Amino acid sequence: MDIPLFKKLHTEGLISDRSREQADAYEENRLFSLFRELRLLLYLGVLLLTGGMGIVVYKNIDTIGHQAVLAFIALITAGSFYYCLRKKTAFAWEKVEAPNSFFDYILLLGCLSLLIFLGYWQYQYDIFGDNYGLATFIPMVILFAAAYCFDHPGVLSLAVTNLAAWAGLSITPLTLLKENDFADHRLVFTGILLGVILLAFGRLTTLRRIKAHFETTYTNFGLHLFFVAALAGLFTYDTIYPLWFAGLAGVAWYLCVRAIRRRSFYFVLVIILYTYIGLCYTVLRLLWKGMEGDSITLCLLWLGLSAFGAAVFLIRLNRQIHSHDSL
Amino acid sequence: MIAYKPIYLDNRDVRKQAATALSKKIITQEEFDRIYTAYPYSLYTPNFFIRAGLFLLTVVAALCCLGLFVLASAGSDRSLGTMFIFFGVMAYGALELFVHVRGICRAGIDDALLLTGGVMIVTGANILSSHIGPFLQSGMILVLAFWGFLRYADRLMGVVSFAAFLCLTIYRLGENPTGRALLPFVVMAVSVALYYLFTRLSVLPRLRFYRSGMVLLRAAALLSFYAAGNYYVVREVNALISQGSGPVALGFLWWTLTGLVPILYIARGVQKKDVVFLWTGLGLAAAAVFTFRNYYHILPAELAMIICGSFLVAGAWSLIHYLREPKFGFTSADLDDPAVLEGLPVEGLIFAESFRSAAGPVDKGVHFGGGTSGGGGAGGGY
Repeated sequence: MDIPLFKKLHTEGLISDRSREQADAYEENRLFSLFRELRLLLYLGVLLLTGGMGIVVYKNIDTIGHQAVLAFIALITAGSFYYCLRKKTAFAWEKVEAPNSFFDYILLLGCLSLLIFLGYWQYQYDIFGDNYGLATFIPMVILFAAAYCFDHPGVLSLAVTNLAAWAGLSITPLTLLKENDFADHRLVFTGILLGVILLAFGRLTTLRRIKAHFETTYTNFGLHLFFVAALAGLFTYDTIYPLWFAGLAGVAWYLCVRAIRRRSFYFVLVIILYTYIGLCYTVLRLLWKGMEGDSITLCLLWLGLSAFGAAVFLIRLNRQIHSHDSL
Repeated sequence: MIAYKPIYLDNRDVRKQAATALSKKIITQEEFDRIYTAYPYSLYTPNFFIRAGLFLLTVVAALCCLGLFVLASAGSDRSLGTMFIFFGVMAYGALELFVHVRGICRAGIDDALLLTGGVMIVTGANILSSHIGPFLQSGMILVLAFWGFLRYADRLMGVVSFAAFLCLTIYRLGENPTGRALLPFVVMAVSVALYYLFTRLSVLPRLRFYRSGMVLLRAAALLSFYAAGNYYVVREVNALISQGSGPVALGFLWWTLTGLVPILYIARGVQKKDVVFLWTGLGLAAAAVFTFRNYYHILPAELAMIICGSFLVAGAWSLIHYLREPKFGFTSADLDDPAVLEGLPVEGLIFAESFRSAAGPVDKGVHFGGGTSGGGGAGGGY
């Protein structure tokens, strides 16, 4: 707190005596928080420790044996879930606060080690055989249950990623574009369908108030998945690309209106950028077809002007949202 | 000097303080609203996401414009270079126009124009003359970046101009053998001098708009001081200059500096409750470990990881527990989270207060501890 400033605000009659005293008291008793520093060190320590143990196990797998490793991972999983079940607060359809600051980390540890356990088991002993659907379906169900039971958006993200894997897609941020072959038409439609389902589910979550704060997670995954798949469709279906763009623009319009109503700067930005890419592609293809010689000048002119237009549009929308809410 | 109306920048600061005070329940909502109306802010400063989007779109638009210019130019080096410089100047002109007519401030558009303007002018100068040399290059970047920092209080430009100034010093000294031998010491001396200069300047009321930039500059000066004494850096730079590799003279001194400086930074950060020292020290401690492991492998990697990891986990865990009740003015609770603050035991506050005199006076010159992330884009509602 800037004490001279509060003094000035007080003499101007903008704040009461009590508020000024509170500002003074706050500044006098001001604490220096090591919250972030200590969390960072803890995180680094866990990373180093687990990494080091992983290497040790990897180097000595001949003497340790797979069963022992599996048993150890199972022990961690069971221990974490046992702790969470014992400590958890009563279930509610609204947001539930975690009982203590380590609860969320322990739960995450349990879920991650569960995934490692199942993956290891499948890799080494082929428990699900060739039944890959089951190998992703079972962890997905457990993760969804854990996310709702313990109220953890991070676990929900894991669950949604697993749902996509079950549907044959890889949707972590780094692999969304790299590992999916969107030239495959089946994958395009799976992506669009799953995206729409996630978006609809996000909407339902708020409408019915089933853990309404999970909506951001659903909408985020749904949005990116839908737009990437729709753009892939736009790029791969050569003959009917204007139709694809029309569809994309329609959905984008609806989502944008919703995002504005939610006052979410992040979603508005993402929607506009995806739509802008689609629009540029469509117009450039039309321009390229229409002309032969001077089309590069025209394309550059269009790109420059449209980027400017999109910027102006973004500023307009921003003024319309007009609030402090982030994300 | 500064492009924006000072009154608005001041009002923005008042609003920010009021918002922090409101989130900590120091002032009431009505008081906050009153302050908001009494201190108007009509510049356009959007939210972080919008800022990022506008930055991207402006870069695309500027590059397309440049493409059109290049298509229209005759194609010789001379005309192309002139075109780039002309375009760079145009970008600066457009920036001024946007700031004065549309009243934008940290809106992504200005960041993008400032960056493209500078990059274009430097590129143009390079196309025009193929033998500018690193010395002149750094000088040019220094002038452009420093202008950007002074006029728009742009933090990135501040750091760029600091780096350019260091390069200028290094290239100048690298020209003769005595200079080369003294290089680390001169860089260290320059860093210390600049650090004190930045610290002094950042408390001046006249330079209040540059405060957040000065924080970064102070961190940059601390980093360059460490780099000048780090064994790895000294050895590699020496090999680069004298074309020969191998251990360098005064090895003991460099090893001492490599290990000791991060510890001193952290100690200073804790003693002064200074975030800049603390974070730089934490980062550099990792750098020191990596430097050491680069030359000596006394332990296999996994064993070192397990030992370090156990110490870190045990240390951090026990400190988090120990500082749950504030001690010596420190706490492990998240003060930015208003809910946590409410739950803080009053006894803890009193306890901290009684220890404050023993722990030494708190540096009240510059306020970093408040924890509002320095203006990366305040709310869009202004």
